[in-house]
Amino acid sequence: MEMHKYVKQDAGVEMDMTPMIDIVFLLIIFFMIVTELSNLDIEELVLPVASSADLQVPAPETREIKINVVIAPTQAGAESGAGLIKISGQAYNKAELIDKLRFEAEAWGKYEPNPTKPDQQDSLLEVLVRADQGVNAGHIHEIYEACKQAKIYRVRIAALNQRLEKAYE
Amino acid sequence: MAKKRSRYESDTRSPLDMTSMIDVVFLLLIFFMCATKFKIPEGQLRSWLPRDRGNESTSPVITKGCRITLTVEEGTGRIQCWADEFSVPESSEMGEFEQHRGLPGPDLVALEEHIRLRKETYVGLGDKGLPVVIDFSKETPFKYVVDVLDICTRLEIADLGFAQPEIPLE
Repeated sequence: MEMHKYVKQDAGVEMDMTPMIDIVFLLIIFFMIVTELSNLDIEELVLPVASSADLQVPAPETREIKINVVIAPTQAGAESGAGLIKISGQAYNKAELIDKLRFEAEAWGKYEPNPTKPDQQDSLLEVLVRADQGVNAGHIHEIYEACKQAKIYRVRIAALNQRLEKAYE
Repeated sequence: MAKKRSRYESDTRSPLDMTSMIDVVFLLLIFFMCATKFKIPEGQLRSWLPRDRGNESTSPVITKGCRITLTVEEGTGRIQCWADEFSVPESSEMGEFEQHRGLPGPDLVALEEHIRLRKETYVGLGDKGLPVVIDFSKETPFKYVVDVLDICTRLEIADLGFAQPEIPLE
């Protein structure tokens, strides 16, 4: 009869799982926080598609404000192109938007002289307009006017580039 | 001399079984990794505002610049597009947005061709080339403004402007 060989149980080295569990928990917390924070200043909307739109990384010394124009909620599902201008989740009307941009430009405090009017300073603050493709384009006039009043001239329009989008499908 | 191990010492320890907890934690981790929506990289179109308001910004021209006009027909909601005096026909293709609206948009190929021809035949004294002004009514869907802007960017139009309602001078 074959005899089973005796294997000493205590000879094995126990693996300490504590650091691994710590790291896994940290990863979960990281994903939870990032998921929430990344959506603070970006509203969910359908951007227009422009094949010439470039992926531009803002220079580290610049500051950018994202202005979202979402389709305003309407009653009973009525179709309307009326928009709502939002910055970091807060809605602004035309007058409030001018005040907000003026405040942000002053808080940033970086200016450069106007090339044609040396006594006038233009803000170096950058504005990115993220507008839904179905929204009334009249809101763009409002944003441009507010930027002009706040002496901000660096305005960009966000658009999806199909080429870029396809690369991530 | 080595201490003799008690007979019951090892049996009294009850090791905590971590397996189920690790299973749950891994499931949570996989859930969050799958549920995280990765940000689609967004492109940008530069549309800096003119800084020389009140001064003559355009150079003397021999031929007129190009003016793209976008309006919405009252009642029907159809998009009307003109490039100078040329009425841009409606497109036969319906994109996703057009299908949602139930109305066709302007023929962007015909529009691009018109601007390209104007650019090639333009004679001006400045070095900026053909000036293009995009004039749109406030009811125009933003998509069509970006479409025209996209065409102009593609054709490397350097002197591009939006017609803006008059703001009183300070």
